[in-house]
Amino acid sequence: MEAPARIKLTIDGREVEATEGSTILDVAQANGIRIPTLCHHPGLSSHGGCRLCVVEIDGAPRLAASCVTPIRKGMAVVTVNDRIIEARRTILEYLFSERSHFCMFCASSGDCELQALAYEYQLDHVDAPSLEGLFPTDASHPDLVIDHNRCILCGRCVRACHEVAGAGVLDFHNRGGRTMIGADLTGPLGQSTCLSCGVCEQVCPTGAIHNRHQTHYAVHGKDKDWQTIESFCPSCGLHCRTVNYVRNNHLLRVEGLLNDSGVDRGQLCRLGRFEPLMSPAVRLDKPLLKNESGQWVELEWPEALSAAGKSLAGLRRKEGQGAVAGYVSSALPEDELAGFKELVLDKLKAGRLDCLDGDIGRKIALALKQAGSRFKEAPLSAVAESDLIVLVGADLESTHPMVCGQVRRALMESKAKLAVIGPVNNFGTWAAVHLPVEGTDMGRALKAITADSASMKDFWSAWEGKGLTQLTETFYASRRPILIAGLELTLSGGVDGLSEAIRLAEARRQAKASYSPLIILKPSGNSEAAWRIGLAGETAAPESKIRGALVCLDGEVEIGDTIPREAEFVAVLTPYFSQQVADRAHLLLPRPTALESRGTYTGLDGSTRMEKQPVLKAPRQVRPLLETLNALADALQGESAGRGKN
Amino acid sequence: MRRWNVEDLYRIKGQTVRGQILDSEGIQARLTVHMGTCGISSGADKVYSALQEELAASKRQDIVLATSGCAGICNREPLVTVEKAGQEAVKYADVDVDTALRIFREHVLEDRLPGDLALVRGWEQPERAFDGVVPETLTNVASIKELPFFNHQELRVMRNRGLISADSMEEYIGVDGYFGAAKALFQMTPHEIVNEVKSSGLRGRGGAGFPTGLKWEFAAASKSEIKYVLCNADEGDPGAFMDRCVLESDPHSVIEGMIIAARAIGSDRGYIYCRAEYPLAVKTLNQAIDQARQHGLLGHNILNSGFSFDLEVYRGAGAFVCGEETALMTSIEGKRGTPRPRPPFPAVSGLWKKPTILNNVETLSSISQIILKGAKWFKSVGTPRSQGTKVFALTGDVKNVGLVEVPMGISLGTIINDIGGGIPKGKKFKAVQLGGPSGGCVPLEHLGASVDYETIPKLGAIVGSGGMIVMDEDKCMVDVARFFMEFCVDESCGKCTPCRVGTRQMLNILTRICNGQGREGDIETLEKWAVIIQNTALCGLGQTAPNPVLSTLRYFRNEYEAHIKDKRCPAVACATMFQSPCQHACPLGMDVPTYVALVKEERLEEAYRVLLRTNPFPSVCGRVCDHNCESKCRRQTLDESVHIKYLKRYITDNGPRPPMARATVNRLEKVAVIGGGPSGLSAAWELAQRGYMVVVYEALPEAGGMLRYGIPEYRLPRRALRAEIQAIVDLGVELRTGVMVGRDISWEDLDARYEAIYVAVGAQKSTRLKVEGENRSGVMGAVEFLRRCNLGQKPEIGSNVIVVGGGNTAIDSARTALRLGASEVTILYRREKEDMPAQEEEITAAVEEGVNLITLSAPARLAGGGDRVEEVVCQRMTLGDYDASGRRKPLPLAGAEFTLKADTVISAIGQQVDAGFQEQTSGHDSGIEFSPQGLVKIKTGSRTRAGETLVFAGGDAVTGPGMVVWAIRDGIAAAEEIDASIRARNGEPAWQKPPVEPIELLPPIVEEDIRESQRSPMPELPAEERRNDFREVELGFDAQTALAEACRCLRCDINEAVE
Repeated sequence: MEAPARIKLTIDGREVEATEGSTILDVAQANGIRIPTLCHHPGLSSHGGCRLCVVEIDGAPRLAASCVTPIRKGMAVVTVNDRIIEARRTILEYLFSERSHFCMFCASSGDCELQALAYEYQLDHVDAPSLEGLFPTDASHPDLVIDHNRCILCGRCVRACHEVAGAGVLDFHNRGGRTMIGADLTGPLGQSTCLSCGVCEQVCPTGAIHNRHQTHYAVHGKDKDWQTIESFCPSCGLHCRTVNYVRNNHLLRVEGLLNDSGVDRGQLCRLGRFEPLMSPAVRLDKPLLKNESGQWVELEWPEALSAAGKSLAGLRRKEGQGAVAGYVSSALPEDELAGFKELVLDKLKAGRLDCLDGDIGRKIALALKQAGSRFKEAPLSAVAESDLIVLVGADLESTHPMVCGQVRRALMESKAKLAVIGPVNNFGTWAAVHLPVEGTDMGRALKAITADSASMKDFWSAWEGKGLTQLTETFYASRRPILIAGLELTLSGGVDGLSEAIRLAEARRQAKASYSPLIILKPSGNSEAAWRIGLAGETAAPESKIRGALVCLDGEVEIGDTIPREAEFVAVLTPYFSQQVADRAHLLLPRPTALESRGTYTGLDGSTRMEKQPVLKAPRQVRPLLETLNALADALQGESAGRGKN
Repeated sequence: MRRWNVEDLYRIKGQTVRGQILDSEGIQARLTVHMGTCGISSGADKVYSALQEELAASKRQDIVLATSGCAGICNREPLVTVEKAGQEAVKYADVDVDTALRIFREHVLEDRLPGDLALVRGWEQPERAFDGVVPETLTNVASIKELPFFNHQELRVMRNRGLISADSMEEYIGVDGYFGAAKALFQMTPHEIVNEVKSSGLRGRGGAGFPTGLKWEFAAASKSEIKYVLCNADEGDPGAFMDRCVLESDPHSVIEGMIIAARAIGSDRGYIYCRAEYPLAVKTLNQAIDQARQHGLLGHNILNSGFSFDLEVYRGAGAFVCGEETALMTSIEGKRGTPRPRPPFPAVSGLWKKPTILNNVETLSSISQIILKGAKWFKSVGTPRSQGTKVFALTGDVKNVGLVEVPMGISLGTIINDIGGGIPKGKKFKAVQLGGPSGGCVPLEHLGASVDYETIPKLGAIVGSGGMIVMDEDKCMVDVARFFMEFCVDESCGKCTPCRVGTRQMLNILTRICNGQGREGDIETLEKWAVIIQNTALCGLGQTAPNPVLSTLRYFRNEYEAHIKDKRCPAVACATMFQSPCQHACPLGMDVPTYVALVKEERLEEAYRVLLRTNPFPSVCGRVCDHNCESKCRRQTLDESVHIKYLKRYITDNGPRPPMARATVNRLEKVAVIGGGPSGLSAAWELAQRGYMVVVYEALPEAGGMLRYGIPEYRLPRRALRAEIQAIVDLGVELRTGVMVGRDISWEDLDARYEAIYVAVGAQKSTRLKVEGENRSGVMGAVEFLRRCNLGQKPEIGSNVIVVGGGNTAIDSARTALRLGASEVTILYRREKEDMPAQEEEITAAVEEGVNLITLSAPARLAGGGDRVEEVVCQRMTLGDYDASGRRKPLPLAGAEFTLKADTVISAIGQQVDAGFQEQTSGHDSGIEFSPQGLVKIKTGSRTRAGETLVFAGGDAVTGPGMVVWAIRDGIAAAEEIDASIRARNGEPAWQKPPVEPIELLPPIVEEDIRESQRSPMPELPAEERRNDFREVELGFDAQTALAEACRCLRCDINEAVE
């Protein structure tokens, strides 16, 4: 195909050249000519609805919407004259009169495109009487609020929900002035199939869709006073890029980079967009020690460090190496993981080092080992290329919302089919088949697809009429299936379950593909790196013997039952004070949150590595983790040395 | 079923045509019941089953019962056509089960035609014309060539209407159906098809009028494996139903058109997008598609030509916007039906982004005929740029409601008045809405406009899909604009701001105006927004939504202004603005419901007092008013309006006149009134009550103006007039009779002595005939003639009197001449009787008394031996097309002259202000200006101000000869303006009307008790008795009649009926 031609036209008397097929708005913007828009968004398809971007073409009386009008050779465009301004002002006036746009009561005041245009067009009053009828405010969703009274029906959220999120949850319903944005037709957002990706909020030009986690608007100030910091989300290993809006070291909003070429097209999920805005528990900004009566007392850092060193070193000395252990969250960046490993193994000389998701890591490692070196996991982009997605033991909506979005998009856009095996089905009737097996039956179901019926006779007879036949038929009808193994498969289906998934994937590997069609989900965004570093080692002391532990959390507010309840001393490095952790710990040492830290993360597929800069500054008393680890090392060293001397 | 090829078409056509022939050997008779939706909704299905039973019972094998679609004249449904061997077909209208059985027995079985039931004989289709002898039983039935509803029509799109059954594909083939498609498939290249359609000049009948051939050419040029042909059957304009008729009655014609279109652009698939509200159309279409598919006329390898095309019906869910082409396509794609921006145009990227053509039902239905008969045939009717015929759905306030197909270029007036039969109930035509909510209205003055794609848009309307809603004088144009705007608000899809919000904002203003809450500046805002919405909205719906507002503003701006400034709805339609329509219709706002109720309670003195609140001349008005109140009376919806005028007269004739105290003069300013007619005296009456000292100057010996010297005594007895003038003098007004301004007192004198002057000199001079011989003696003006009579100077008139003109003055002159002893009195009028401006009861009374009425004639010259007139040479006139008055223009009929003997010729064709007065004032710095017609001009922004200083004018001097009530209204308005101007100049507060005493009335009767009853006629002197003297003709109601008449009032002024 030949390249599109370059053509010449004039805009406001200036001759410009542009590629055929571009819109007037594109060309104007490329040449630094500003045209106001509301429904238009560079990351979305064109809509042509708000009509603010009207321009005059060749003096015609009818004005054209520049966002949807393609350029034509020799056309003369005027973007500003009296009648264009009058038309735009009238349209703005209409928008203001249509619903409730009283800026001083709006959460988005100061950060609103409609308001900004009113200033630009000096709309100091509205002649048209207010048409406002009362529309409902939909506050049924945990993260988002839709106030239909502030909606200007620009449809950006609808397009974003279809085009970016691939969810198709939002759409218009009713018509004319009664038009409203509805989720799953008309229902409230909270009871809809919304995945809480929040892209609708990001593109909303007014305060119609806003998130519930923003603090009161007065804190936000005007958008010009904000700082924007680009970063990425380390949650699940997809490394979605983020733009963080910060004012006075306060995170106001996280946005995706729409137009991004990444597999996520620039959207974020609930974890990337809303979790950073929430504090899961009280922030810990000083070391705390539990006294004899079980109460927490504040300590200065030196005391805290020496208390940790003393207790841990003491236990090791008293009970032996096997009595002390180090546990770490695999969500930490690599350098911190490495630092912790060094501290625990070299300085503390602990008998056990594990990460919190070590069990899963060991099972996956075992399964992969059995599979042999030929097996290679598929990248996430393979989802979009498949015609059947088989989810096994996956609750994507809670563990990997972004992958959930990818699956939805494949269903909507590439018309792929979906089969769900396991207790949880996030997709309802979208799934062509759902086999609600649990535990090791998940692996059996995978085996039953290919195995001869004789060996699986009992299983077949139990599930034949409940979806197994359909699952098998669907699987064989597909040309490019892909399997996604969720955490539940690894946890309750075990190594055998994983091995069945690998076997099935290997069987359907495309002739020239560099990978097998299987994606194995990991618990955190950096699990892969943690395991590679060796934090989920197989050679570990039995847990029952452990009497003391050093734990390093990322942002988790629970530590589970990994550490025996009989432990005499548990020191926890954590950004938050949570009751669950506090119950199990004896010493709490503050550390920065992920947003306040820098570090390197490895992606879900195990190959991409990304460096993250801090977005916020940690509170004054909170030291960087590596610094604390070093100080702890010193304290342990000193303890050992001191004892040695005495 | 077997697939057909071309030979089969010929075979089937032959069989069908042979099978339909009626003869004494085979089938004797055929009854066709017309079963479109219109027919069925009026009961055609019941008629059909009754006939079916009756036919079965008769056991006659040689009689056929058939069905067919709509026969066009929808308000006369159900229609039944009866054909008998060797006889002309007869159509029966308004058939119910009983009449159907009568028709079957009397006409079909017994050959005894029930002539009283028959509507018309013959077929509309020229090829079905009957050339045999019309049997005697049928001669009394009008032929289709004689009925204007049918004979102005030219059936092309509806060529098969009433003729074939929609269920039978064979019958369609029998009328050359699918021969066009066959020709296109076997004998023409796609290029030739496009060219034929292009050169036919066919323009899209859906609304925009885009050339169909051009559209096809673009789509044919687009390169794509897949192309679509779409038919837009989403007819949604209020009042348009022609597409439904075609789909229900002749579905194959649309399918055939689509096959040809598909062949032309290289498409193999299509959709008919039909609204779900047309269930019968959807059913008929699906059935026709199935038939065509089974016989190989749709689907693979049509007629074994190698060409394939298939289509299906897509039902639209009833959104008006889905008639817009891009929204329609979005809807077929399964999405919410909203428009998308163009370009890209559908011919390049339409349905599912493939090249697509979309044509309307009527357009597609025309195609096969163009292919079969050629572009030249199509162009044989129409105008140079609008070819062919167009179907209009004629509805609203018109006698014949239905579908009419007419050649382009026919005048609007012909469609409405001839085909449509004019306005029912004797109402006047006001405007016609063309093109529904996207169109505009066309008023009376453009009835002569040619209906085509060039002329109609120039008038601010559009041809559109052919909706033609006729509106009579009772329709308020602001309300009409509001209605259409409300429609657009409801139907706006909401995608673009101007349409979604702008239309609602405009509707807000329109609603406000209709509710009497309009504000200064509202009109300007409407105009500003209308243009912005037109220029910025996304699709046709929004872009055209303001059209009804702009077009009503263009022609009826005064109605908007009356609503906003005077809080009056001139058409008396906006009910929130008034209590009762009669009171609102009265120029004086007389409290009709109250005085009528008081008559009912026999409280006549109080009733009289109510009359005098707003009208100094109730007794006069009780006799000679043109009673607008009665024309708006709601009783008409039940039977006839209440005789309000006669009840008013009854009060003044029988009630004791309430004594009125002399008004106190409490103001320093003095006001002069020139002219002691109703207008001047009313101004004086109102000013006196406001405390002014008023002097009325009257040139003639007695006051009363035209009431005294124009209207003859037999209509208005002098004692009634004198009593009311005396009451005004008693109030304190000084009356100086016999004083003429300019002769007895100079303008400067008046100017110096008085603070303000009200000029109410009337129009005392008759307009000249401007024909040869006008200066002969015996030729006179009507006003001058009547004045001389009323001065008691009995003019010599001889025995033959010719009166020229058609207004009330002409009638008065004729009847007066009769009473003066003329033996032959003839009124010459150049148009038809229906066009005469005189009140109908006056014309009737004159004819009863023996006045001859010769219409369509005008004097050509007045001849005589000496200098006296002896004869009038008359020119016969004929009526041409409609002129600016909304009537057909009279044109001389060449060579048709006739002569009438005449001793006296009276010209009653118009009046103007006396030239002497014009000279008097224009010579001075009065500031008064005169129009070319010799009438006083009023300054803009005022109702009565005529000069730079405090000079005001009103009555006939401003309006030309008019009704007395308007003269009174002008006088009162002038008094208000004079008072307001003086007070404003002095910085005084506005005058406060003294409060009126409330009147307690008995509760009105509840609605269930109202029975139909006709109005009581006015007792009159017999014609032969009254024509010899000047005694009052109308005798007045007696108490019993008055009571009965008063009881007919529905009391619209009370909002809630008392239980």
